[in-house]
Amino acid sequence: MDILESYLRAVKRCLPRTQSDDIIKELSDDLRSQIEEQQSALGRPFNDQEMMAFFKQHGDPMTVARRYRQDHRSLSLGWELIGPELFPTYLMFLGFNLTLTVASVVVVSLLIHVSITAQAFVVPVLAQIICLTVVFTILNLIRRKHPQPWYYPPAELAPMIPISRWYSIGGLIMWAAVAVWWLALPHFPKLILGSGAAYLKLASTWHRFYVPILLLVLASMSQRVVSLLRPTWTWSCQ
Amino acid sequence: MSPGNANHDLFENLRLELRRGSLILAVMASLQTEQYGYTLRKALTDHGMPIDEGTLYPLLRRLETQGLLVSEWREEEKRNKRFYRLSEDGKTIFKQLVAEWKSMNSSLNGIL
Repeated sequence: MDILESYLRAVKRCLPRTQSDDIIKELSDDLRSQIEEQQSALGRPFNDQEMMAFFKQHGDPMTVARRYRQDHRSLSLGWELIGPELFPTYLMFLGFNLTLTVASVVVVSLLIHVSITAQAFVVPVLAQIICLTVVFTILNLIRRKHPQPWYYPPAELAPMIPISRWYSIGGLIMWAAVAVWWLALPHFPKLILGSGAAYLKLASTWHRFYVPILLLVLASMSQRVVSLLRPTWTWSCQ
Repeated sequence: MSPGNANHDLFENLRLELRRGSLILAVMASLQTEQYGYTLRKALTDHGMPIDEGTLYPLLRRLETQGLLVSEWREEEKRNKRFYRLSEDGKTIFKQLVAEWKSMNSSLNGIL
């Protein structure tokens, strides 16, 4: 029942702390009863694959926890853009991204010695809101077509849910293209400045960001290579 | 969004609304005798009222907060289970709700 414990821990993480113990005790009993009933019909205990199939059918931990939260807030513009199950996650990501965006604008402004004005925040903040809303609207559409997807396998269950080969290959191709583009930029400024490259040149601060961004891109590529070679590998199961 | 999808969503919303009230009555009816969550869910499913645990347990918690149910953790078959049953207030209100349901049902049958 190790997988059950992992599953319950993953659900618990998404529950309000004041009720989590109570809910988990009850959910645990319910799931154990279901498993026992199915195992007795089968005449033998589940193997790991059957156990995972059971939990996949039951729903991903985030969705299960949302049902208990009874949190029905959603984002609608005439029709539902982001449903109640994804909305709290959307808010969490939005809060995180906006904090990071504001902090980045402040840090960059200080680094390149320009004054911090309200205008500097408008475009990045709007871009974050629009991009995140579009991404979650797409996820919501997928959810409606496939009501019980396994969106984000929790770390505890990762060894049982291999990362898809196509996810790794797709990511590797995308990041390799970004790396090539980034490496080519110093030699071909037209790739970023367009036709303006004839009379513009990159400011000296460019060099401060060049290597850190290159390292980030290479790290992302390495992550995809690792997930391609070891699709079940996580930090916790080395 | 296509009109077909919009109609389907509208139907789903109305169906859920219709079902919500009936579920409370079904749960209260089943809890005239003490049961724990899983057996209650099975009993409801066997009677054609399937309910997932994410709907049932919050509903049980709400009914308990409203004083209509009482619950108790007890060990059975080497596992701790939470047993629910109607409280005295719950029994009184259940009788009133059943009377109301029957009256509404007969009116609706006349209208339909």
